[in-house]
Amino acid sequence: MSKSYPSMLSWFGLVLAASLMLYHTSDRVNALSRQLDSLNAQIADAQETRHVLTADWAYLSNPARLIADIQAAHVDLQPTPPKDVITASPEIMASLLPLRGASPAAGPTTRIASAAPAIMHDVAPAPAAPAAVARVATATRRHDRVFASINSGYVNDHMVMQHSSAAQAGTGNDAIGVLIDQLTIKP
Amino acid sequence: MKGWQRPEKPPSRQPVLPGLFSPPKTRRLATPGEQALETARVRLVFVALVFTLAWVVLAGRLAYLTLSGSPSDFQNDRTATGEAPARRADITDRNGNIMATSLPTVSVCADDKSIINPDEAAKELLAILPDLDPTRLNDALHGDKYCAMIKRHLTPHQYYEVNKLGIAGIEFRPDEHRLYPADNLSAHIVGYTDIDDNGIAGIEKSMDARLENDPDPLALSIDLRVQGIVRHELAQAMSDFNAQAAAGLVMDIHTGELLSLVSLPDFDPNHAGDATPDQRFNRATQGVYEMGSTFKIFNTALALDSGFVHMGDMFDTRKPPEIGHHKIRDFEEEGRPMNVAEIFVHSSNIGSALMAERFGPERQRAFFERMGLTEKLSLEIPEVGAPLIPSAHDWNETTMLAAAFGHGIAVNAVQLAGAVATIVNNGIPVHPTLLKKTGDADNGDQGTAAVISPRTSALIRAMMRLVVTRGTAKFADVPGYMVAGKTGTADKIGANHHYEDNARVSSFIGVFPVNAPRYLVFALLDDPKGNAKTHGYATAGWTAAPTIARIVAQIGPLLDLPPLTKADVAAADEKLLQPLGNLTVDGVPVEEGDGYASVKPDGAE
Repeated sequence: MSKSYPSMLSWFGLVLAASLMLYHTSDRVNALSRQLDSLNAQIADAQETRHVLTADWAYLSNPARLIADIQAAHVDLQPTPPKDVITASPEIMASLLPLRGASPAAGPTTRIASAAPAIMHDVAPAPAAPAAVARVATATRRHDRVFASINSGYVNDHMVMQHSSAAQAGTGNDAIGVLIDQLTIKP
Repeated sequence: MKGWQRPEKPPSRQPVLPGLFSPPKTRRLATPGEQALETARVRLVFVALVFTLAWVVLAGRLAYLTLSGSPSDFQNDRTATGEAPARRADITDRNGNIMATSLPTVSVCADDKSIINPDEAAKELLAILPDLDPTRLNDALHGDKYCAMIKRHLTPHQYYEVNKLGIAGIEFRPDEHRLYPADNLSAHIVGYTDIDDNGIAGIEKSMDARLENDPDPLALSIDLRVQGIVRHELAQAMSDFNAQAAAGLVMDIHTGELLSLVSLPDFDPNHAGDATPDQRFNRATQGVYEMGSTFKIFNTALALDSGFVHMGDMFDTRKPPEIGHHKIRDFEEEGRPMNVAEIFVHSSNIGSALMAERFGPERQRAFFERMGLTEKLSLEIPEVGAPLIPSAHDWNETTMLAAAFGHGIAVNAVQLAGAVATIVNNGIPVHPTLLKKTGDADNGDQGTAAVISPRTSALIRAMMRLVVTRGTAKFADVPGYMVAGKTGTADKIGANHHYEDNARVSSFIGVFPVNAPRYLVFALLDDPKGNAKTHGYATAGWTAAPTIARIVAQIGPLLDLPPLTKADVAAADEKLLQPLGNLTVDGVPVEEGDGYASVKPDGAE
């Protein structure tokens, strides 16, 4: 065999470099693999915790518990009679909720009366507008018993919000979404 | 040997030829050193070739993967997929609220061969788990088992404490504990499991295989909010009227889904072992009752649908038919000829019997069959009571007269609800179910033949509304909701197989909003007693009807049904009562209502 030191050295160098790279890569993979296992364990732990907390929340939200214990012991609430439930169309909700930039007026009744017309011609179809204003006026005279509700389906949400049948039938789009857009876009 | 010397080459006798044609050069034999070197060289080359081949294969594969591999090639199954570990599926209500779930727990057992000092271990364990039975604990520790169970379902705190003791031989096993967060609300429907997580009652039993194999939560049709309200009101009524028991349900008329199914008294399924058989008895599905006047819905529907009776026909209630030797009696004798609406509104047994005489026993039994009242109801829980009903062979005139006002036949509440829903739903059959229906379930029923005509259904709905506005169920009305229904006060049969004088089963089956029926509500009180507020009356109009009113008032807004204004109610009433035509009830035309026809101009109430 010919004695060529340069070529042997270069081959050695190549072998060295290749093995260094190999072991470096292998070490990184192992480190990542350990990290992966650790993360998996954390995920499993978090899932179990979430499961237990969900069960705990369900137990606390048990309607029987809510109705009987909390209502009787802490707050003197009675079930809302249907006549105090109003349907929330965008006009009514806008008049009940304060808008940014709306000038504070004298009393609740006058604020409603002044705000409602201003809102109504921003909302394109406003069928039965006089009836809506009349309903709102009736409700706000006893505004301490008005109870707007959101039908979320969850047992500890006693809020039920209903779209007015007129708005639903007329526009067919999300009346509350329209309202929210207006509340944020208006200066 | 002395130095070996290359021998002289003998003169070659062959000619010298050019290139390839020259004879091969003779080679001398190799020296041992040269032989060794040659062998080593060959071996080295061979090994190098093998390694090169291996590296070439690896490099080639790496290149291939890098250049063309899709991400799925690189995923190993050690990545957490985000799925929960395999455990018994949750049972939820229709909105996802949990009604049954399995919690991971730990059970502690003893490896008896490894325990060094059983008595010491027993003492330490008793300090942490005081409710252990000492003798059984000693047996477990002194025994010979591989895993002698000490206590199942430790709480995490107990687990930590026992583990901290560091007793050799105390082993922990992962376990599952079934938890029912809704307590009594889910008792009869969801049922309960035994200690090994096998379902032994309710949905847990009937859907045991589905819960074990499929980890997705099982959604029931029950709405937990409605269930809570119905149970609360029924419990209130049961205590107000000192009733023995109560049952109630809310059903979606279009899909047959049961939003609520309550039977009282009930129990806590988390401690199902402490429940008495009376508490575990499901009075809404297992209990069969003679429903009494509620059956007049079927009687009237059949009379009108069969064509033997028309709306304007009069029946003279002064001539009651006889059952055996007893004349049929009404609760409040009117003593005059009554039309069909009046018979229904005043719940006249005599009038109903007279109507039944027109169509006869065979048609009546066939009608009950079409309504599904003769067969055992098929529901998703195993605790269902079959109807007590005479066979076709025994169905004679007497049976028919009694069945006309709901005696002689006993059905369970869900079965009754399904049949009444069918009548109210334009005759399209409604099948009660406890599982949430997904998608367009109505499409399947469109092809089913209607059991009665839509016109009969409209007439029945109108008369049911009159019962509430003018008749026996005035207390069932809720302002803003078009509640309609029928009361039923049935005499209870006592132990001696005779009807008791002063015991009744009061029920009211209601539908709202009746102009576009969505939900059916039913409440039954077993043996209510009158109190001061009801002036001593314990009939359905005084006991079950007000309960229904309170239920409807609360669940109406929850179920996305806004209350109507008085004007809207009046308009809807007018439209609803149109099919009755020019009928008068008690001398007053049907369309002249009771408060709803007149609305003050400013809308004030």
